[in-house]
Amino acid sequence: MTAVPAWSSSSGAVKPIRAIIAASILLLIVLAALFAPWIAPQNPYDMNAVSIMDGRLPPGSVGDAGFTFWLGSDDQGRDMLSAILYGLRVSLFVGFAVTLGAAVIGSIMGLTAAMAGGVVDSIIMRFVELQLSFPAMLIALMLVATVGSGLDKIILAIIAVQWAFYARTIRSAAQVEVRKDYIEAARCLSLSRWRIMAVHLLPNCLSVLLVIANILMANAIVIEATMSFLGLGLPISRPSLGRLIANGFDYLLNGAYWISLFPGIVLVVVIYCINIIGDDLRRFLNPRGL
Amino acid sequence: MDAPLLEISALTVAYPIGGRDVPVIDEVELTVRRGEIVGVVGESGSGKTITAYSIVRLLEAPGRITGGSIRFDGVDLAMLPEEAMRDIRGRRIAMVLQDPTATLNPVLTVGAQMAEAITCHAAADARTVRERCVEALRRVGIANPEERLQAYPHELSGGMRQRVAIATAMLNGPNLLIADEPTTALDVTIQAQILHEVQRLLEESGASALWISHDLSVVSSIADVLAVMYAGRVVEEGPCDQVIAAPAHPYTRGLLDAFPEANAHGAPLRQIPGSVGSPAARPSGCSFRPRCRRATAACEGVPERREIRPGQFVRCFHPLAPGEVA
Repeated sequence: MTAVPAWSSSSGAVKPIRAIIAASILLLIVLAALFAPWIAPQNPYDMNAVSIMDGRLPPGSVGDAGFTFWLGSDDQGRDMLSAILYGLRVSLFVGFAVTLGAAVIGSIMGLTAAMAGGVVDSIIMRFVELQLSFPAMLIALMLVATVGSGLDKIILAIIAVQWAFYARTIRSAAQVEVRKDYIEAARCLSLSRWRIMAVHLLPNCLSVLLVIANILMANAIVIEATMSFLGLGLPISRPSLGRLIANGFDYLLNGAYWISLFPGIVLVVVIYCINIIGDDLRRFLNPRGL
Repeated sequence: MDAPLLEISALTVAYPIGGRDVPVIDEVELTVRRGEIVGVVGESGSGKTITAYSIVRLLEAPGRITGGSIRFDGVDLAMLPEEAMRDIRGRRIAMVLQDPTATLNPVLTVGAQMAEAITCHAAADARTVRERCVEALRRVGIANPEERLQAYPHELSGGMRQRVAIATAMLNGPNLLIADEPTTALDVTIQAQILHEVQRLLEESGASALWISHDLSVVSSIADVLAVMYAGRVVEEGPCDQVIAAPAHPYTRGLLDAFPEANAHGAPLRQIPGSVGSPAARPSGCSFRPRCRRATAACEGVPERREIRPGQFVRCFHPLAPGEVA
């Protein structure tokens, strides 16, 4: 008996099991992060709730406060489960905010380049290429190092890194669409450039935008985690997943593996789920040029 | 007699090729009177579409109008600022393009796209817009127009889509409809239906039309005036019946002879030898010269446009007399 492929884009009859599972897990994680203040055993930001005496307890221990540290505690005595849930909020917020900002800026730039062509197109695309020729992490680190750390600055830095990817992809998709007759027909109706861009061009590039936004969202979360890990991100008082991993790094060889390991696993699961969804989305929508 | 609606004179459009301006249409003369349908025929590359796009000033860069005038209702469109042109384009001059499968935006409903045509030129409330769209669809012979407004283009057949495109073009009550081979992509039966409906629509609204096609039989069935283009020039223009009955330009004669219907059954089809060639490599003088059996040394000069019979203009040194074979 031959195995039924998990997902076949041509038939459309087979359900994308993989993506559905990934989306369910991701949804669960997002909900857990959203409702963290209600489901977390401890508020890790509240210094009164944290007891230094509970520091570095292994998973499953019961601390002074009387609840079980299912995932252990860190050196400050913070419950890791609570810290991860709160850390997820930060990481996911960065992911969404960056994606929204970069997608909007990148789409406007890409659509403008495709619509205008000529000199405008050249200027925008040379700028995009210049930026893409530097490693994303390098630019993000440089920006944060100059403007200082903080949630808003990190988001702005990653937007500054990522808009170029959106601009390039949207432009190539829009260039195909711009040549089609319905755009010519819209011009014949004397619609304004903005209207043609927003109402006619953008919706036809949406499938491409959706796929790249998915991939880049995972990327944004990873960049933030990396910066936090390197100490350029958010302070330990408001830790993201990356900062939690960095925090436990010092104790890894002392046997306190749980401080780094569990946030790491959650980060990997989140990124993996997003990438699987993006992958199947791409096969399903089959956008050109990706 | 009142002034013609559209009067194109000595219109030249050039594209820079290899550092010099190469004219793709050269001193085109074309007149559309009020309520008249002017058919423009010619092979691919003869400049029909370029002429149409220069009227609405949507020539693709780097092409540009290098000479001549396009007088529309007393205004020279070639000189008009873009702001004023926008008001005319889509409202007073409407266009229908060739491929109905591509002229509608696939992600918007028919209703949304039609509504745009109204609201981009004048403020109107949703109810009025809807009523006008329904009425416009009804007039092009679409059943259940209310339902069709909710449909997406892929849910409609090719003929239906072209009807939608025509209805959209007629929404603002244009004075001039420019149709660029609107029925070429359709079945012959659908084509006949649409031609009939457009003819009726134009008659009702009193609008004029510029009907572009490479198919002489389509054009001759609908046009009042026929203009034949060859290699960027209008080589012959005149009342449709008169031009068909007594073509003066050897090229028009050739086109008519190439009609399968014009041929005796079983006889080999007559054809015009050679092809149009690219604008950059056009011969000097009369560009039909290399393919013409009547060509002489005189044809190395550019033939002037002259009235050979009342209302019939031709650009040829050796025009045909009525009934004469090329």
